[in-house]
Amino acid sequence: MQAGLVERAQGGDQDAFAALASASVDRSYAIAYRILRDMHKAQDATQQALLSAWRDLPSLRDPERFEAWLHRLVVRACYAEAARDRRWGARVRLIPSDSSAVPDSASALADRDELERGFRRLSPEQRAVLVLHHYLGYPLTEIAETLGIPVGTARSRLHYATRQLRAAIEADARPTNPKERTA
Amino acid sequence: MNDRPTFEDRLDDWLEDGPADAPDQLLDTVMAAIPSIPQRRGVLRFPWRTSPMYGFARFVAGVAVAIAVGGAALLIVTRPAPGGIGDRGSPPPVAASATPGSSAVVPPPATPVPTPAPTPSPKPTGPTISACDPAHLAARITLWEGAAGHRIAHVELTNTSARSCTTRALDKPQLVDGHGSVLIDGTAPGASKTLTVAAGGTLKTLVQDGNYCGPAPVAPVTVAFVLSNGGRFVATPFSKTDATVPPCLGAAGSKGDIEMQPWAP
Repeated sequence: MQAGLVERAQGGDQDAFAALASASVDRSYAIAYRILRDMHKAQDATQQALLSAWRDLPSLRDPERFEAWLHRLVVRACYAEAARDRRWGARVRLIPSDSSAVPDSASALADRDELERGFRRLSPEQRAVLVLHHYLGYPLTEIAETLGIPVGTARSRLHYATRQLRAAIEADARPTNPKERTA
Repeated sequence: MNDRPTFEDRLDDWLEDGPADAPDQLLDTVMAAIPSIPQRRGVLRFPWRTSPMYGFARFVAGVAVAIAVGGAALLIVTRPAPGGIGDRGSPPPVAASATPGSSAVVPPPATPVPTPAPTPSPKPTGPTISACDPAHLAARITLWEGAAGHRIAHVELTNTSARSCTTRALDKPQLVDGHGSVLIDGTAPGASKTLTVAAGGTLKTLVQDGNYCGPAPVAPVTVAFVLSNGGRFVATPFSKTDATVPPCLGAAGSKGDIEMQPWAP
C-alpha cells in the first residue's frame, strides 16, 4: 500500500504525500530528536527532511524503500542542523535533576545523566550511527545504506562511537567520586 | 569484565526514552509549504544538494581551486615568450582577459598599449567575441528553495543581444532588496573561466544565501551579480511581494553569507 502512495506522490499527488508524511512524521521526529537532543532542532530537521522528500521524491527509484530513504534525509537534515551550530559541544544542557517524583531510582537518573552528557560529546555522525543501531535496530548493512557509507565504515564508526561514549561517561564519572569507582 | 552488553542495554533503554510523537504543527507546516514547492524531476541534479548542506562550501571550494589551477595554467600558457628572464620587465597583457576586443563592459586599459614589437606571432583568436554588456543580460529567479537555514535561488541568465558574448563563470553575488540595498554582499571570485553565451542563449546558476541578521527588507528580495569589471545586473525577482530572507543564525548584526555556483548552460 505504501508503495502505491509513494508512486502517486512521485506523480505529484499531494494527498498521497500527506498520507506518507503523516505515517512517518513521528518516527522521523523521534530519530531527529535522538540525534540532536533538542526538540526545536529536531522539528526543524524533520520539517526539512519532509520537504526534501517531497521535492526529490521523483528521484526515488524503489518506492518500497521510501522509509529508509526518508531516514537518510532525516539524518542529513540533522547533520545540517548540527553543522549550523558551531557550539555543538558547548551547548551541553543538563537534564534537570530535581525529578525525584519520577518513579526512577536515583541511580537510574544518574545513569541517564551520564549517558546524556556523554552522548552530547559525540559528533553528529557518531550519534546517528548509534541511533540507527540502538534505537531503530538497524544492522550494519542497513546503517551503511542509510548513511551512504561502506559497511566497513559503518562498523568502525559504530565501534568508535560506542567506545567514545563509554570513555566520555567514564571520564565524567572519574573526578566526581573517585573512591566509589574502585571495584 | 562482562559489562559490554550491560552498557549497550543501558544505551538501548536510554534511547528508547524521549518523545515518540512529533508536535502536531510540524506536519501542518510541512503540508502548508508543499503546494509552493515544485518537485524536482531529474534534469538538473546538483551533487551538493544531495549531500548535507555543509557540503556546499566544500564543493564551491573545490570548484574554486580547480578554476584557480586552470586559470594559472592558462596564464602560463598564454603568456608571451615565457622563460626569457627579460620578460620580467615587460608587462604582459595583464588580467588575462580572454576578450581582446574590448567592449562596452570591459574598461579600457589605463595605457593604450601599442602591440609590443618583439612578441612572437600573436595567436589568432578567431572571430572576436566581446564581453557581455550587462544591459543585454536578463537574469531572473525561477525558483526559491529553502534549505536548513539557507535559501537557494535558481537563476536563469539570457543574452538578449543579437550576438554572442562572453562572461565569467563566477561573479560576485549579492542579495538585494526592493530598494536596491545590498542585504548580503558576496565575495569577488578569484580566477574564473570565461563562458560564451550565444545570442538568445541562457545560462543557469544557483545562489545560496544564509544568516541575514539585518533589518526587515523591502520587497521584492532578489539577487544581483557584480561582474569582474564592475558592471552589475540584477535578477528579476521570483515574486514582487517576496521579502523572505534567510534566518539569522548568528549574533545580531553578524555577517550573512552568499555563494553562487558557476554559470552553466
